[in-house]
Amino acid sequence: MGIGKISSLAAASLAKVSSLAKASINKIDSVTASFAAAFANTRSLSKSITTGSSNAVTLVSADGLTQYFNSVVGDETSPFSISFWIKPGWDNNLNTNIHLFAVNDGSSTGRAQQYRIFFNEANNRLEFRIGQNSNNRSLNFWALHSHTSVVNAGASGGDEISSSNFWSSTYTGGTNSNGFIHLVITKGTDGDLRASNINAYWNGQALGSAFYANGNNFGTVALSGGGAHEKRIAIGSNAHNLDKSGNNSATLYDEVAIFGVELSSSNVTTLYNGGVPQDASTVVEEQPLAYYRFEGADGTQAAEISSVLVASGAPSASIQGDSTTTTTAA
Amino acid sequence: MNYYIVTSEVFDTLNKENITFMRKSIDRTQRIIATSDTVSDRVRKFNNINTCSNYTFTNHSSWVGDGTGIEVEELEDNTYISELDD
Repeated sequence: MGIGKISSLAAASLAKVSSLAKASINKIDSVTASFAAAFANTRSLSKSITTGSSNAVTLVSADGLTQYFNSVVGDETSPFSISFWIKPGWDNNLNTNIHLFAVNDGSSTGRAQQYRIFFNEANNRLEFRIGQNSNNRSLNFWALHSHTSVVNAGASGGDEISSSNFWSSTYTGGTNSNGFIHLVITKGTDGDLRASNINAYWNGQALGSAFYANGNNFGTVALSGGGAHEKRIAIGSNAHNLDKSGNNSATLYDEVAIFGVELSSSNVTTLYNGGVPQDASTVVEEQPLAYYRFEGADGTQAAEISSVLVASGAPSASIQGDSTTTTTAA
Repeated sequence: MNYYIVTSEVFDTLNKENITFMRKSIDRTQRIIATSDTVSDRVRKFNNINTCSNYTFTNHSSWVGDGTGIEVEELEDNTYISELDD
């Protein structure tokens, strides 16, 4: 066989291999695309800065309340985690707190069966509180300017959080490509918020120890979780009077998942996924108690509510008034 | 406990160990404080924690950017920690 023929055969083989490789790559692209299509994230919740019940976002089974999460928020020894993406709308003149997730007994008393996570903007602290009344409660916090290596990872110079530039729409710290931060707060089985019992993760990284090693405790926390104990649960406002939602512009929330377990750092890394949200109901071994994707198109409240992906029996998200969903997604 | 509004200059002279709450005004020129000390050089003195809270709701534009005010529980729980310098 002459060199010319060998060359011709080799070229033909290479062409075939190339053709097969291209077909395989196309198939892989197709499969990848179908996976990506299976988790389309096109919208997020826009929590209006206009406050009160007529603009609130609450998780409701009936009458604006629910017992669904009592196994967690009604038992101080139950583990808990919440994972969500957030794009701050508040500015540096907020000078108060913005509630991210809040629970109370449905009354106008903030400390009645409280279970809440909020950003104390006046002091640049991410705070976590539980308790059943004014005399029995536990709180702790992370001062964001004490954890700058984590919160500013990936941030450009002008976006960095510091002791003079508190977390806000201007000083965002590190975000994903859509301007969202992934936050996860976890709690273990101790009945108070001692530092060893809680964790906060910012874009997949632990913030480190909360400020009070033993928690800042008043009395002894004993939450009530029996069936008769209805809870008001709010996203983006406090629960007792449904305000403290920020200023300037609406804060966006996406992929809110509430778990009845203490997620591990490995779980959180998986959920963060390098800044690309993925299905929180399938990517960790323990499914959430409820998962609110806020994928419903703008329009009627019924359409938005019905689009919420929830576990069987989980309460729907009631999105009222100026609060809505928006096409800016995490 | 005593509740005051003081200027930032006066605040700098106070014993921080006795201050349990501090909130800067939005323009950063004044401070609302809770302290066990008696402060004579003050802008305003409140009779109790409730009147202090109520004042911030009435005068929220100077103190709180979302149109609300400083709630009593914030005055009680947002502990001033001087080493955090916040």
